Amino acid sequence: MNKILIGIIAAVVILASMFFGTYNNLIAKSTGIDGQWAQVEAQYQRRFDLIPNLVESTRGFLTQEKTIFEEIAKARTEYGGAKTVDEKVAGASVLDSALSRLLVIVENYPNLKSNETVARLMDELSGTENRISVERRRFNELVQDYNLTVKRIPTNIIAGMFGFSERPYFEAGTGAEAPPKVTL
Amino acid sequence: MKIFFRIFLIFACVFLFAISVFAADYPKPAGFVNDYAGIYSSDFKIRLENKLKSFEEQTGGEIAVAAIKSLEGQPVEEYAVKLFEKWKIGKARDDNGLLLLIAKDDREVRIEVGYGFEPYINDARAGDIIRNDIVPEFKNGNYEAGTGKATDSLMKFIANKDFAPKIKPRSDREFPFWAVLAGIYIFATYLASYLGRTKEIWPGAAIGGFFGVVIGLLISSFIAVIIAAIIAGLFGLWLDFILSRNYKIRKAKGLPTGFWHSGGGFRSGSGGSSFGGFGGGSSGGGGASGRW
Repeated sequence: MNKILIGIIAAVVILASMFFGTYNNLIAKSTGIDGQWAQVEAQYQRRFDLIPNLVESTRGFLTQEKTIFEEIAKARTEYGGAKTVDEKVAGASVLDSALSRLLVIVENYPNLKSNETVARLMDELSGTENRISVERRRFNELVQDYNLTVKRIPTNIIAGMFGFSERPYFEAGTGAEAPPKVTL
Repeated sequence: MKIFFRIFLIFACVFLFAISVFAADYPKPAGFVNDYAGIYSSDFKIRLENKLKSFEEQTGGEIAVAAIKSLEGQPVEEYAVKLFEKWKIGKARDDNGLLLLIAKDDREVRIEVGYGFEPYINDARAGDIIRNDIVPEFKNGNYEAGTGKATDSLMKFIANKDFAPKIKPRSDREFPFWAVLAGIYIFATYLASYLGRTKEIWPGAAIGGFFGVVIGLLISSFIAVIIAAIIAGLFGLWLDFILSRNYKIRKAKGLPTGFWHSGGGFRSGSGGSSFGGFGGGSSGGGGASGRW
């Protein structure tokens, strides 16, 4: 009699702990994704703030390359005006490609490359691009892990009960997957 | 019967494959200096190790040097950030870690800066160190001189009073929560096993299992609850078994059977190197890279 009671209590405790554990796990993962998204946005902001400096110090050397600066300015304005997440992502990938083109152009001007100020700015720029790709990869890894959890049996039952659904990946624009290389 | 065997075989293959995927790639750190490419003399290695060790003791910051032969086709940035993720250089709360990665055959070098050091070693500074300290020396094959200068510059930037970071000295480190839990668990299991050693071996398993559930709950994963309960339960069972066995043996030999004397037979020395791994820090792709 006593043993049956203990058995029932043990079963209830284990079931309840499974239930709460699963729910907490989903919440934790979902919150983790939001936090990681904030990291991605912080890096975008960092780049956004860096651009005026960068443009100022390279424009004088690159008088023939007007179009690239126009492109960067336009992309920056677009990103600055973006409100929704989708707009931000779209604006960011336009900026991505414009900035990687600038990096390639700088590569072709040896004088510019050997200028210390420019070299440092290029460090900052490629560092920022690299940070963005790192945070973006981590974001996608978290989303993947979360989506897998949501879809798995038996977690999917509890996920369905509380409306946890799959979340979209951050698809980078073409050419923005790898940070541009600066060889010095 | 045959079909069961086949299914088992398939599962075993999948499992082995999964393990081989996870086990790939990055080496384990043996200290602050890890020379897999054989570019340093053993004398230099010891000096550099001591320098980085005393830096860690004074500031809490961890500077790791890794010299590898090849990046195996990966971009140096990616290799560095993943190695950093694996090694967790720097203290967990401060993220005050740094990685100097040298890929000998690719002739590429990277300084990967932990989040906490980004204000002191910004990308431009990391780039300066690579351009001024590392590349000119490495071009002439002076790996030791380049590494020495670079680590000196890094330490100077970090230790510079104008930028002195708020880093807690080593002794202030927080005792990790999981270690407390593990300690309680082992003590409780041991106690239960000690008390119940002559009778049955199940109390150890029961207490172990209970703590397993608690630990699993804290990790808050449903599979972890079950796995932790099973593992902890088995551990308790085993402990109880050993204590019960030891009791009989010691009793027979007329040896003391008090609390502290019951353990013999399962304690093992930790031994090995004095390097206990890095502190759990992380980086986010900051730093600079270069080629020589």
